[in-house]
Amino acid sequence: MHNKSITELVNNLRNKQISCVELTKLFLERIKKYDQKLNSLITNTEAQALTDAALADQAIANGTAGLLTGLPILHKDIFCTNGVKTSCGSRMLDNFIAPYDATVVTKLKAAGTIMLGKTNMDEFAMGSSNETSYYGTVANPWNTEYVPGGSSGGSAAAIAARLAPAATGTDTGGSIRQPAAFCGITGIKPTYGLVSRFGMIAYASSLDQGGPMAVSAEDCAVMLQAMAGFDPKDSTSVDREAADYIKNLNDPINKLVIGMPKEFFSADLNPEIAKVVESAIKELEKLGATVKSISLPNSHLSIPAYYVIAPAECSSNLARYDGVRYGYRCENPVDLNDFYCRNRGEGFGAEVKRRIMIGTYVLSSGYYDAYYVKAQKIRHLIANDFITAFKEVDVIMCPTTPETAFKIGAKNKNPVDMYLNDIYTTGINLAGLPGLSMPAGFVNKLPVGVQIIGNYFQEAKILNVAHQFQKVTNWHKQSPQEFA
Amino acid sequence: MQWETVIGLEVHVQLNTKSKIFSGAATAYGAEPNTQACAIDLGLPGVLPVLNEEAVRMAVKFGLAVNSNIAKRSVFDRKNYFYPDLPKGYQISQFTHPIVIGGELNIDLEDGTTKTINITRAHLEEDAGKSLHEAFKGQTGIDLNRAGIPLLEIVSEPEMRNAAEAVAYLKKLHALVKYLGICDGNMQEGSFRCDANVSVRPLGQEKFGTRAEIKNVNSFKFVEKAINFEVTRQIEILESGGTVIQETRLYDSQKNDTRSMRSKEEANDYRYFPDPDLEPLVISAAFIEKIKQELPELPTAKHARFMTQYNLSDYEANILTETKAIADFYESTVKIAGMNNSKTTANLMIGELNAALNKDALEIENCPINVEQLAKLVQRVADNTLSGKLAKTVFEFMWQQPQDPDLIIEQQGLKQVTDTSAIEKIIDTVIANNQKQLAEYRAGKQQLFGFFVGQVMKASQGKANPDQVNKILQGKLS
Amino acid sequence: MSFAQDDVKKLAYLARLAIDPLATSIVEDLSNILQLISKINEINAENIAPMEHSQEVSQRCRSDIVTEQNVRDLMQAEIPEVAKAAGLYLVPKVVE
Repeated sequence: MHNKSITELVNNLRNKQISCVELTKLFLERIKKYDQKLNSLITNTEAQALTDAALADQAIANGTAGLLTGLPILHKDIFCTNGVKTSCGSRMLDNFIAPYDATVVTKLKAAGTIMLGKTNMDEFAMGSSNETSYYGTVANPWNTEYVPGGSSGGSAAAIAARLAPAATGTDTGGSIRQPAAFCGITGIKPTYGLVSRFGMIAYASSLDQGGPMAVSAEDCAVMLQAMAGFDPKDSTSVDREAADYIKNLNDPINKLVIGMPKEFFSADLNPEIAKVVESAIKELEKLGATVKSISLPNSHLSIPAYYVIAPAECSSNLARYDGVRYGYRCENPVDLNDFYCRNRGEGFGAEVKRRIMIGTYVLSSGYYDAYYVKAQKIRHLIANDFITAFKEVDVIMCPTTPETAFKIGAKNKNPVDMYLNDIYTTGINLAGLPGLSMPAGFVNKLPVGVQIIGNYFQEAKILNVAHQFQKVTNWHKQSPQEFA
Repeated sequence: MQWETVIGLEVHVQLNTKSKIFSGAATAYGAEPNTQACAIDLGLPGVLPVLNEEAVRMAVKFGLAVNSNIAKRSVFDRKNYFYPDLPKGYQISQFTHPIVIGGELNIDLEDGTTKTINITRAHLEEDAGKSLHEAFKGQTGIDLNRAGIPLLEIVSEPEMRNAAEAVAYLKKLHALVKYLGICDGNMQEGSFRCDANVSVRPLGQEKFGTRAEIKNVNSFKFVEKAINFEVTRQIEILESGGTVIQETRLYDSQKNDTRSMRSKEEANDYRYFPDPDLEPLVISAAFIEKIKQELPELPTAKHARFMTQYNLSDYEANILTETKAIADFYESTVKIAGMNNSKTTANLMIGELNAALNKDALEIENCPINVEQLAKLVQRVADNTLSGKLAKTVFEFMWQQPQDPDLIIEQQGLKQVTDTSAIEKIIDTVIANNQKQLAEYRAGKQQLFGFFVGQVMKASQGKANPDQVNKILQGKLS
Repeated sequence: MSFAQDDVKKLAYLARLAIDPLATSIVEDLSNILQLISKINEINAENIAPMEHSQEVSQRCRSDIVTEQNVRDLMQAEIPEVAKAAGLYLVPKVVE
């Protein structure tokens, strides 16, 4: 049951082959059985889930079922959920009960989904391994000594272990795509502005986007259908006609032109990873697609530019966490300064503090032009590289990550080691383009992800390409034996 | 050493929108603490700002009224600093690209001349909350009702040269924002807040001296005092060889001095950058044009119209257009009393009404007499029912107990006597009783005419029409 | 490119973060990051404008109506008693 697609599950529920309560119980039991090994959940909302499942059964009986009625899902603990703890993986919000729902949560609720719990994540979405969470590291289900990736590590691990059919994640520099690659699942970061950020705790406002993580592109398409759409409460939300991500899944790709950026297939790329990616592209060529070599000449600057812009925005976004109106409060503050400094010093972990300080630095007087403004100019160059490339090709494909998952603790000596993971993902966030990662093979028994990048608002196209790949391959169907 | 004072003013005008600039919470003054602070105002995790269109309209109205440039594209920036009444740890403001650029305000100086003060810029931003320091031992209480109320910060060029000019500018600006209906101008409630940047330099020197910023002046009187104190303080420092520190100073109205608040140097690095949660504000020419059409008549135009339309002098027009409320009251009264009585109405308002309002420290908005009642009084003077003097008496009654003047005239029997034979009778009686004076008058003592007038007025309890008395008396005495 | 201990102290204060003043690892870590981001100096980007938003959208406005009611009780429900009084939020005394 836990290996079925969302479409199958929803049909089973609607045809009453299984009840919502039964299905919810099934996944809750899997969580109970397996999550101790993974630590993928921060909060389990079992009681509410069962109540909601019972109501879903009623809706199905009444004929008032929605697109996803009865589907159990997980929400990354970055989305505010009314009446439920929302920690963002941080001690700072360990005591925070959100008094409202994020728009994404509202929309998925309206579609009929059942929330099983909130998933673990790197603290305030800053990390690529889910090792910075206040609630402990998440383990990769493929090998529990290895990281699942981050920051949406909990969501990725839970899907890989089939603890839920779908989960929400967020992606600022690769935080959906990279853990999807490390865990052998599919995830998509939509075009900036497609999915509402209202209620999605901000890390870097001009880069953050929420998106679905699931077993397949088809499942992601169904989830994205419910998640996407204009929100007047988010000034950066784009007001455009709603798209249909499902109807184009089966379009033939015999005229597709795939771009391969030469900078991403340089001699530096691990040859085993290269092999997996090239094989995947070959499968698509078999279906009629053609390949073209393109260039993204400024791509080598995406990591430096990202680590100027994201910390800058985060240093400001996280200034509100001061213990005054909510959040962590230290004991016996001596005066106001002590109150602020210790609330924040004790409430935030090391990586968050590092990024806040770097962000403060690049915005400070004397450095603003040389760093922040310069980085935004480079961002423009990077975006232009993609826009130019898309004049020649329909989609761009490349590895999602330079290597497979690494061992827990392996990259903690120097923060920069961790940052270099993001080489293929950050450019897409800077440009605001949609990007998807799907599993395409294994190296040393660990999953390898392939990235498909589309032009602005071309989610339907990249989901279509991924779905066509998944129709002729089985990588996405594989899950670790331990959690079968 | 001759010193020149240089003053620049920053005025924070609270725009009287119904809801806040970036959230839908209410803005009414005086609510219980934190009852008008929603999730967005509190800076909860995940919340986002959306701009209030009325705040934009009001800013554009102001920009048009002062002949400035309205920026077709302006940007919201974050001003980052930590303070308990600033929930997000940053204030959303406009730094590099404000919505209003340039502009000017003409001020009336004491010697009767006008001076043009240039406006550098005006921008939209959100207000912070309030800190209550006194109520709790060792702690400060924070009320965030005010956090998020829209402000228009108006910055002048440093072109004022003394406290009087500064006050004239502030008064003009105050009247203008009230005229435009964008601010209620209530300085006690903090709707109109002035910060003064004050420096001195040797007369003739081009370079500006170091300036100090004076905050916390909430009345025109205090602005004047604060500036004067500050100028003296700075000159004393400079003349004794010291240097003025660039800092923020608070005005203390009890002691009438300014004291250092915090070194501006420390609070300086605001790390301004464009707010990524807000898009650039694009304003079309059509939008600006529509607002131009909706602009109320501005004080200068109203003044000119009053002079021609109501046949008023420059002086009279000044007083009657000082505030929109006064002007509206006047025009409403004339509408009822009749165009031909515009002068009489003016006299009554500038004379009796103004004096009574001042005595009781009332604004015209709280005038006990309404326009219908005043108009009726005007008509009774015009139709000779009342003499000027009698009108004063009736007015006094009306002030104490507002009502239709006809009722007072009736009750008090104050109708002017205009009947010629009645007046003749009174005059005959007076003359009969004052034969000695009559003889003296006829003998040449002309000044006794006033005595007879007085006697007739006394005998008629002030009701005899003065002109007729004069005429008839002239005839009878000669 | 690197930070000195003093620079880090200043940054930590600007950001109101209590950090261990003796921890040299923080200075080292930040210096490594600084080195990484300084790579943006490799190219000259004179002829291009900074890109703050990936979509060219202009700010939408909302109508001036009150849509939020009094939510004080809800918002203050979870904070400890020491943190509030008479509807106000309490902080250690602010000295001006």
